[in-house]
Amino acid sequence: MSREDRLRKLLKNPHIWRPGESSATGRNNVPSGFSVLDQQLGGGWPIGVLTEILLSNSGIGELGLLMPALIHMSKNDSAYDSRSYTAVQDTWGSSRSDRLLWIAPPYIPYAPALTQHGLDVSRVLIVHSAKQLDALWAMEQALNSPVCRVVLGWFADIDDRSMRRLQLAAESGACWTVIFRHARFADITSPAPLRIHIKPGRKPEAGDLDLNILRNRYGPVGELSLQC
Amino acid sequence: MLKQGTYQAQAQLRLFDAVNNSAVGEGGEANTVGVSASHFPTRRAVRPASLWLCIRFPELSLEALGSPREFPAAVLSEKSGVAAVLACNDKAARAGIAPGMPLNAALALVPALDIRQRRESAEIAMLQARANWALTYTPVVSIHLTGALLLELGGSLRLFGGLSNLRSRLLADLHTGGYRVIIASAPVAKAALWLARASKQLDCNEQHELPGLLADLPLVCLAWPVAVQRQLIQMGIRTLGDCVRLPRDGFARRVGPGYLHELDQGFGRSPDLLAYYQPPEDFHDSLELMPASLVAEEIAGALHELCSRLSVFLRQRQVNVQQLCIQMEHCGQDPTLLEIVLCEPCASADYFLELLHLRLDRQMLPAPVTGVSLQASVMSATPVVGRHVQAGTAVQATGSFLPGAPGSERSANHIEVNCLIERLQARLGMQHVYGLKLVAEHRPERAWAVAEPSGAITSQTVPGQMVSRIRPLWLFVAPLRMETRCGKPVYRGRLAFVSDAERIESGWWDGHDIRRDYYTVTSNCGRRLWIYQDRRDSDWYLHGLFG
Repeated sequence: MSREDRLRKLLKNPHIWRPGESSATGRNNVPSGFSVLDQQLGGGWPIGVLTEILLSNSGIGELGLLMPALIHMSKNDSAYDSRSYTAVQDTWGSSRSDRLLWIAPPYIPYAPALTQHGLDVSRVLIVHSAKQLDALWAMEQALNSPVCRVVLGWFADIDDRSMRRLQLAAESGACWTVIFRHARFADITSPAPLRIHIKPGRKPEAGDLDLNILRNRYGPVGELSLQC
Repeated sequence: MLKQGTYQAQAQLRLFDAVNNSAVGEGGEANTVGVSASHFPTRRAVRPASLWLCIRFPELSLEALGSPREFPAAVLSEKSGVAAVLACNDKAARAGIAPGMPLNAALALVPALDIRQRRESAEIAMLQARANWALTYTPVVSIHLTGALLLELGGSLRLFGGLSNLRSRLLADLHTGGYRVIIASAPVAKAALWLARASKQLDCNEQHELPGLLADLPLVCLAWPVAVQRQLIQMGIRTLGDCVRLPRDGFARRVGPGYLHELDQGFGRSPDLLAYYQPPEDFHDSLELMPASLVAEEIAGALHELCSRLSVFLRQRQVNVQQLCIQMEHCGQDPTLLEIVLCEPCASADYFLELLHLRLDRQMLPAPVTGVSLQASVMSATPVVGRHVQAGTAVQATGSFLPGAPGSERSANHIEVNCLIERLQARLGMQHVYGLKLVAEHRPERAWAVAEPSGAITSQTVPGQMVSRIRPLWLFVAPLRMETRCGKPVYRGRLAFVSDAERIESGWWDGHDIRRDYYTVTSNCGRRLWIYQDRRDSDWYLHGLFG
């Protein structure tokens, strides 16, 4: 094997990222439903890493941003087969993981609305906890278990050490993992490879949302506007 | 002399009868086997000869009370108002103490003797626990309340590879338990018991050797009443052989027909009907903590012991359990109850322990724990898919024999989902982990409901015509009353109405009727709100957010 071949083989390792290389081969992702965003993220929301969404208020459209991908993830497995996410198939081991776990959501996820959007509510699991420590523990448990396809967590105040633990747990599993934090943490460093600060857009009634990608391992950072 | 000779001949003849008899008594179908065997000689079913093993626990009463082994110790029993030694350990025996000795005499020999009152209930409980253990090796176990177990091993010899193998396995188990035992085996249950009582650790496998072995045993091993024993000794009878040599009718008249019958049973001349031990249906066990403790490790140790006992129980009965109830006793306070409810029946002690630890971590104990008890009602028998949990991951342990059997993958997934849910519930509380479901209802707060988290996946749709307009993704637990300015609702500034009113008026039949006009509005900070005006008092409320 020549040196170039060996180098090429090494670079195929999914853990190696080279700047400028947008969609790394072998990396799993979920199409976000927004082509602009997919392009920016190199194919879609990354799976098996921590995605951090920073926002100042709940209800500005954060669920609308995730909803197309959530709907996609709540589809049953036959829908997956028709698509070409073979890598995702492999890591999930066919029908192993099928739950969408919501940890400590700020309000009640309203089942009729979720169904209206096309989400299968029988896959949704909700965990409430009075203590944040318990919520973090639950999230780590969920990420280490092969049961969940999506784990969403809302945390008021989360320290760097816990973030690192969650990132490690997310790497060990094959979940689409999203953490919602307050926008004041935007300037604080975080181990999450993808960090997006969202703000209501010019026309909130039409579902406009401004995204500021603060950190992105899978493509360029920068601002963009979406209509959710 | 002549008379005795005839009796012996008679006894030989009777003995021969009794062998056949006991075979009939054992199986009941022995006769039919014999008949069919004559018809089909090639397919002859060989029924294993019965072989009884007696395990006697000479120090049971000491072990039941937890008496020490390092110091001389004795257990007392009251006999006609006089306290006498019932049993003593080796150290005490070496000092000259013997069963039957009055307490005063024993104390004179060893002033520092550890004395405890006999507790028969504890002895019976201990014997039952050991009978449960013995069921691992044979289905036929009989408890003898004088401190012995009788195990029928004839049917288990082939499975365990012969008597010597089986014996060493039994002894190894008993050794780990730390019990002192005397083991003897014989083709007849009573004979095995007598041999063990005489402390003869013998294996007598052949019926014809039995009379010779039993003949030398002293009368004490029969455990007959003292008066009867004294009467026989006064007649010059000291061994079982002496008894058997007596004329039968005379023996029955002078000593009692019951005793003659017992002798016949022991020598295998008449069948012995034993009461077989039936293990209980439900599991209930408890441990005392001495001294009372608040240390997590000590309580966890007791739980560990209880859980492993439960696991053995479940494995032997081939059953699974779904609900565990732990009760922790406190001195002078109400007991603390812990309940673990599993999504699916399970039999793994490690898993129960893991869930209990998660629960115990969050449990406040009001006072030191004096005892722990575990109760489990058995839910289901013979699982198709067993659960085996190791290091937080669930794997299919004993699934279907056929690879890729229909539904096997689904059940594996089910197990994993349930594992996660049970762990979360154990730590966070049952009501804090739930699923969602739709309800056919116009009132927004009643259009959804909490569902069992482990429910199967069923694609639900909005019931037809129920929802015409878009609903918010976030709903408030309780509607939030809004301030008004000039009759218009405000929320951190002015609100812009995006939609016209949607009237929802329903529920007059159950006392929770509503009359509301719902609007979608946008606030200054860019949130889309779902608000309503109550038509009855014209107040404004915030009910949801379009996340």
